Amino acid sequence: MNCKQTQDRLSAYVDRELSSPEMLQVREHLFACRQCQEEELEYRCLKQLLVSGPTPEPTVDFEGRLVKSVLGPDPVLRAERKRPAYLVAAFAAAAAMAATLLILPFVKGNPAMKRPMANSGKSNDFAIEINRDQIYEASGDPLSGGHLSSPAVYGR
Amino acid sequence: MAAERKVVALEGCDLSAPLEGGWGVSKCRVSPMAKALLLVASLTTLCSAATAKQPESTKARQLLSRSMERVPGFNVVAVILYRALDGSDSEQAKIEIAKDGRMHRVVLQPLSREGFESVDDGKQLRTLVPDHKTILVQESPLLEQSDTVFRLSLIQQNYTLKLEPSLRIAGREAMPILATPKHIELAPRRITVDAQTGFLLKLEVGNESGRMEPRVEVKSVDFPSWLSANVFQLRTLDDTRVIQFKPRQDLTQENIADLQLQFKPVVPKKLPNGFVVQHAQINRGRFKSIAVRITDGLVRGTVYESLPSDAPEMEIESATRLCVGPVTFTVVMDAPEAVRRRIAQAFAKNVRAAEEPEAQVASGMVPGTDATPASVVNNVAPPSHLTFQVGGNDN
Repeated sequence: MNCKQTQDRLSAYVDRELSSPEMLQVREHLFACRQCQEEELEYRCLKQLLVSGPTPEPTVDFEGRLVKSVLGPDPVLRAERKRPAYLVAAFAAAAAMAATLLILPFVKGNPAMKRPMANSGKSNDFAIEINRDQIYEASGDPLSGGHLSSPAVYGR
Repeated sequence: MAAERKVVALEGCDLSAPLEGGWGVSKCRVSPMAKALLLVASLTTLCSAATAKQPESTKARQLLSRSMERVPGFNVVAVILYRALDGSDSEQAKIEIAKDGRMHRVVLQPLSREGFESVDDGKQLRTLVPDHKTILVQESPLLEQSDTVFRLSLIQQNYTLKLEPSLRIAGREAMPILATPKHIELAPRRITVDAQTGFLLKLEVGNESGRMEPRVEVKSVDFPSWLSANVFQLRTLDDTRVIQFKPRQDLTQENIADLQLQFKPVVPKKLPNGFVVQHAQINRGRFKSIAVRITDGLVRGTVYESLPSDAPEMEIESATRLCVGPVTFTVVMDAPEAVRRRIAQAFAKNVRAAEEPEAQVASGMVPGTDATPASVVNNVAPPSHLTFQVGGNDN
């Protein structure tokens, strides 16, 4: 998989919407390509920002307006409302894009927004020690049931 | 059937003739050849009867011993589902094992651990953590000597084995072996192995409500005649970080002094629930810790001994932590929490005993003060290479 193919799939990859083989292919490419890694990080940060933003509450008359628009309002009224709706949508898109462009540079430079890494500190070090020893134990003795042989501390 | 066929060879014997107060055959005229055939037939019948009455547990032990061997003697490619003891986590992996024991394992699910890869080439066990571009390198477990005989002896002491009717798993004829523990705190286990090769196909462990929960389950399995050597090579990249761990060392009187630990390692003589110490190792990672391997035959666990400051509270699967004075014991074992706690307490008892030298011999051994191998109880002889042979039952 090349950079273009990977970047086409990055959004779906971040949302875990790809099939398993595709996930593996993208992951493999990301493993080797620093440029795509940065792209992926940006995607993740952007999605995180969008998720963490406030959810706007609908106005009180939203339901009524929705029903009216589905059932088909008066053609005269529809024509009147067409222009303002278009303008609002365009304004919203422009505002979103501006916000994204403004936020991205800060996101890149902010270490707190980087991809979550394994916990630091002694607790994590000792957990890694135990996990690597348990990999050893599980490899030598499948009968015990033992641990899940991946060091979960890295994966979570 | 064979016996019936041979009886026909009796010459001139009227089998329908009435018996006269004794064995009818003695009244017949029997040629020497027929006598010989009769003898062979009797022996055959006796032997087959003896075979039929061979205890199920013997057959079960034979199958278990095959599944325990680190060097299987055949190639395997399997997709296996592993579940955590409490059911909170699971992992699906593809595993390839060569007949000489070399192993390649890659995690397929969950997505968070997809691509984790381990390769054991017989010398080194290398584990790739892809998200962190890190490879953990340690010595191969294949370098350890086989402990099958030792563990089978313990299984005989601690479990009652029963062979259950065969079934099919992943298209293979499978033999389930129900292992019922003689110690009530432990959980029963059902180990289902391939009838032909002894390869583990399913492992179930009884939960608190008495239901068997699957821990290991083979989803598909194949026994190919050939595996490529490339399978046992781990992919690496230039910027991959390699963490090389020093090889484990057996804990002996000599290397304790070199270790300069700030606590006295504890290797108890007696452990509860039929567990015994198999051996004690020094793990020289970032921290100096002692790993005491314990087993009751079927279940193997590890008790890590370290400074409390090196082993803070953490979330580790199937682990129990107990802090006693200058040492922290972390028991990691596929056993109920109550059992792990009792094991930890047995180790803790020895810390207290170390402070009272007279009580030391009675309750356990603290290397550094008494490194004489303990006497082996219950006639279970640990493998000769092990440093601290101990055994016992505290129940």
